Amino acid sequence: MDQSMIDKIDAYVNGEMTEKERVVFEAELESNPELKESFELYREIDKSMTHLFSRETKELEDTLGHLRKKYIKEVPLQGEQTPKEGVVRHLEKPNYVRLFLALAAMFIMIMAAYFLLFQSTSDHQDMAKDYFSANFAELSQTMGATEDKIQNGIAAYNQKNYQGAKVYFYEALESSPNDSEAIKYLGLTHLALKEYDEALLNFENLASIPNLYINPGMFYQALTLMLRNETGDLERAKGLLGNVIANNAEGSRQAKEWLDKLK
Amino acid sequence: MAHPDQKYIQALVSNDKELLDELYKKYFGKIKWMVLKNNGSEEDAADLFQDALMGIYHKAKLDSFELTCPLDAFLYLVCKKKWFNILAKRKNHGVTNIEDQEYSLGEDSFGLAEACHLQDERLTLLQSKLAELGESCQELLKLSWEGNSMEEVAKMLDFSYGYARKKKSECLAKLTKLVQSAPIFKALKW
Repeated sequence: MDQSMIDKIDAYVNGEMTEKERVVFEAELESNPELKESFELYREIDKSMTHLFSRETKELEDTLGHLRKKYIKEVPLQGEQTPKEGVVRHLEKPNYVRLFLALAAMFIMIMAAYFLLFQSTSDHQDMAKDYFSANFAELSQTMGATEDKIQNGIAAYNQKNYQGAKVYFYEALESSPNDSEAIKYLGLTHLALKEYDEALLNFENLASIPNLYINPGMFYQALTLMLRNETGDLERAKGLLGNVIANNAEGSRQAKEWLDKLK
Repeated sequence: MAHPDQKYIQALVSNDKELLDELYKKYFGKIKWMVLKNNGSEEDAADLFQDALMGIYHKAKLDSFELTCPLDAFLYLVCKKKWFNILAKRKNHGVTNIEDQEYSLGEDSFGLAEACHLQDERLTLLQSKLAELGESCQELLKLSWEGNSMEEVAKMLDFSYGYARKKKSECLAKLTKLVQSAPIFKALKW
């Protein structure tokens, strides 16, 4: 494209040609396929880039960036917590007085925030945390699971390699999607990772499996809600615990104990 | 006829935050597992997923996009292909055999995935060639593409209107030439 052609294109796309000039230009395009291809590409590039740099595109990127942060929970795989390159880790001469003061200040702030914000509402969360640590710090290898993937998943869980465990349980579910053991363990693994929304989904699935002799799905949902402790969670958990007791479902003894304390 | 999941495509086009949240909630998990199981991290999966969604958005805005299969299956297809390419570039991992999900997709879905891929490649080429232009061209073009009128661009750069417009045409012509002379140009079927 020489300068005269660029000038013509500029006048054409900006509607500044006379009728006669326009007809001549269009005829020139028709008779010169190479020129036509360049001209069409020129317009296509302008259109594509106008779209790419538009405010709409930036706004969508912002929305997706926000959702990405919401749905990705960065949990490093166990044993892979290598320091990032370039991080300076020299602490040969720490200033112990400053360090002590900083820690003391931090401790006071944390305690103050704790008492101000959570003291009245976190009793149930503590109960749930205690229950989780007492019962699910490790999973028993003899809980009836026979499939290799589940056994591998349990082994990974017990080594606190929760990301690895998730993969095994997920694989077990791919080959048998209704395997109640895999659903349960996957839910517990999510709990260990504090991925409450995903844990809830698994326990809801578990609770909906019919004819299961022992089904702790409903009880685990209550446990998850108590741990998550968002607005409304405690009320939902109480409702579920009530149902567990009414149906004499798995976990009813613990449910009764908690409900008595929560009154 | 468009699949009911077309509503998610519309959500991308109109930046419907509520529906996009639902989209992430429903579909990110599966892509995450596919990546985690194949030498990737959650961060990789998040990049991949966002990239695939932006690709669909670009195609829908610049051309058209009619989904004829569930979005779940389409995203899996697109992300799998993208991840395969990334792994092939990361030489420390051999080519992984990403297992196929039980999706039965029509030819049109594969065609649409390919069209999305081509669109992505075109935009990538445009961006890389834009970076080869001189700074003044880049600045002027970006200001214009960001939605400023040429009068506004001229004012911002302290040019006369006539000069700014002429300069834009010249810069765009240069960019066109650079794009046309790229070895990959023909394969992108513009």
